Amino acid sequence: MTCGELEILLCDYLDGALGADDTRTVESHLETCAACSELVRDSRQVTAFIARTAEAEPPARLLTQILNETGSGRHGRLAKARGIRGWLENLLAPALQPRLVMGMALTILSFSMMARCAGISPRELSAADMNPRKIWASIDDRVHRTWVRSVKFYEEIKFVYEIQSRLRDWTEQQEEEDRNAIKKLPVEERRVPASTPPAANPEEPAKAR
Amino acid sequence: MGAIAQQLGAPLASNARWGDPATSRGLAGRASAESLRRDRLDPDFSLVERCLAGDEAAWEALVRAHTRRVYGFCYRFTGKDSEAQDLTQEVFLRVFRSLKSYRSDEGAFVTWLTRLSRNLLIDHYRRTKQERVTESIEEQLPMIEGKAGSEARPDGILDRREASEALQLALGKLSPDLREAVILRDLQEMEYREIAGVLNIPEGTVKSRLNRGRAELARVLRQQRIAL
Repeated sequence: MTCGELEILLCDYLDGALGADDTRTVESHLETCAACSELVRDSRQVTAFIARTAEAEPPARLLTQILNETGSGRHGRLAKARGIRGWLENLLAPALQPRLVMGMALTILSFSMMARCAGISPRELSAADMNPRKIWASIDDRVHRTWVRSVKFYEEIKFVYEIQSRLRDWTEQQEEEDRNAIKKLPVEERRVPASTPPAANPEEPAKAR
Repeated sequence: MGAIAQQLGAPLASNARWGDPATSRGLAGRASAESLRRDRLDPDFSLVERCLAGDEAAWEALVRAHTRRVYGFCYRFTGKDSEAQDLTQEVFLRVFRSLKSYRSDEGAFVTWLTRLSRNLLIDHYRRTKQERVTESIEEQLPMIEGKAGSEARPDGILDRREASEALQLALGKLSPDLREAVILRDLQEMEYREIAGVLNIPEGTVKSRLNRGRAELARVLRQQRIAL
């Protein structure tokens, strides 16, 4: 028997699972081979040492934690469905978490509201619409049109219109009054306002002379 | 007996269909007899079936029955209680999600569970490789030296708890291949055939890794001046 052959039989020899013939062969090899008998001694001692060690004890709360973690509702129930349905459910399970679904629904809602306000119909969108220049032009155009429309809308409100026409009337009336007041004044006064300094009028020195 | 066989006939027929495409409906009788035999051999089989039927009590029983084993494997492999707890939770979360993929004709539930745990442990080992390199240089060395110098008794014989700690340190020195083989055989007391199934290697390789692992462990323990 070679050392390699002994290594193959070593585990069974240590377990006492070898037949009588094999055991005899192994033992006769061990009597002549120091390296193999050392290997057998080490293996025996180590297994005996391990048998003496205390078992690793899990903390009591670990079981509770596991059961809480896998409890009903936390990560879904114990899956009953098999086949395609079960597979689909498993695939979609992370995406169907209530928080995620709520978030997605709100995002879709807000985007659709924004699109509606901006007058964009998702059905008419194409890849070409994603061109930044086109997007800018369409926004500019839309802003301009909205501005014009809102100005028109404002001016067409009855109340605003009345105020504006009243204001226009007052302005015209004021202008009329001003014109009449100027007509009533004498010619000199009309020509020379009272506040004008005497030196500013070229006719006055001649009159005084 | 006939009623039980009839009850178990349905799940078994579905298992047989997955295992062997040639198995036809005509073989259902033989399949259910086999299911009863398997049920007797592996007590977890009926628990798993009940879990798949949505029985929460069966799930609790299954977790209760295997927490110690999974935690022990994780703790002996990582050497850290907190990591072992997190990994044990992760293992059961995965079991919970993928229990329906377990096929009893592929082997015992324990083998499936241990394979799942082992895959997670190896993932974790690869993920934390860098952290471990730094840690082993900065922290582990003084701790081992301190232990060997101050705490070891003059006769070198340790009590069960001390022996457990010494074993933990020594296991940490082994390569993951040898470490998992020693843990599964000498601590978890699994059969060579089962270990071969978990590690997906031939039985001969399991035995050769065990021999090397034990010899290495003896060398490391002696280095720490621990009497074997």
